[in-house]
Amino acid sequence: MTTTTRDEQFRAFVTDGRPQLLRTATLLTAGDRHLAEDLVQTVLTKLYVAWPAYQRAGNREGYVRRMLANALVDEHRRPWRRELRVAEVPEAATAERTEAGPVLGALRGLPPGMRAVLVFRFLHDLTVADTAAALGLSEGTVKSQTSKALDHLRRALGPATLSPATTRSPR
Amino acid sequence: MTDLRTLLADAAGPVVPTAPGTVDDDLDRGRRALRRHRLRTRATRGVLAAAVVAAVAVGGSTVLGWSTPPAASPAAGLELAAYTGDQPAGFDLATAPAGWVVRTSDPGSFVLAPPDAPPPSGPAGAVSYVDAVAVSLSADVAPDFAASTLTVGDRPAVWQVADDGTRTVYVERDDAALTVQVWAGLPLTDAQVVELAAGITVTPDAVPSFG
Repeated sequence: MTTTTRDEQFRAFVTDGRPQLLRTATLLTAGDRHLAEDLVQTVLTKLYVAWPAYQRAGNREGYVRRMLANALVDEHRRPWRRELRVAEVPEAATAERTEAGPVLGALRGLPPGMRAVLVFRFLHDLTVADTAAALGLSEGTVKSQTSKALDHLRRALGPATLSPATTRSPR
Repeated sequence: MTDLRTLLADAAGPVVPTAPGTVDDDLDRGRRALRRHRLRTRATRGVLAAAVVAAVAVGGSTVLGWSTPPAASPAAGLELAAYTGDQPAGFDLATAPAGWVVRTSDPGSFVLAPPDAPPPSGPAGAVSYVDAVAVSLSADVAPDFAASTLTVGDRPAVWQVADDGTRTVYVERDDAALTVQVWAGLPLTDAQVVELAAGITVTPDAVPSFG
């Protein structure tokens, strides 16, 4: 098959960007690595189709983040894939989850949208405004969801692991 | 005590370099999706062209030029309501005529129709535009947004009415136009059409259509 410029550019993007995309998806899915891989494949497939629009985008990282957030929302609209949120981490967690520790367990107790707010704000270090844009939310919603998510994490992880000072965000 | 960023970074796992085979698989999926997208786009355009030809034949005139909203608006018969069904690919829909569904969608277009409208048919899954609302992100139209005083949401827009009564509103979207086309005689007022258009958000998943 003939290799096009789009193919070459896409290859370069996947080679460089896929690992980070998968790590973000891993957190968005609270450690479900199969679902995370599904999300990444969905995003990359749509990205290839929309490659000219991606190339024109002023904020390409934001463009891909928005696609990932949309894929997460779409996934949770499917009734057969909806997660059951739990107050406590099941004891029969997989070895992978146990290894990743209580953080993934704590994330699992959050709704997917709230997880995304937390991940975008604290892992990607986005501002409230950029997080709101990435997720299609108002800034007020981002602030309130951040606050609720942090309260949940503090309760789940304990003050010795996570204190208010460690979750302060300058923006 | 660890800061949240470090906790999240650790929980996300290590950065594992992408294997060449994985890149090949991603590329193959993308190519197949693009082929499907192009086939669907061609099929949709064929049906739309047939619908326009039919409209012109019925109206006895041609569809030309841009115009301001007409003074006489069709009487309302449908009510707009919050849309709660599955969202079309590439768009977020806030309102729709009550009870209507997204009959078909791809990342560049979708069709809203009553629930009892005929299902897509034929090998290409062609859908009827009769008594429906067709929405697309079109990169091959050139409405004169600068000359128009109409805005939809906070974006410049152009209103077009064909002689047969087909109403189209074009909303400026960077290098393309969100195009909302309402079948002639559909009992929506012009204000409802504008409200419907204002409730459509183009997501980053959308792919502009080129003619």
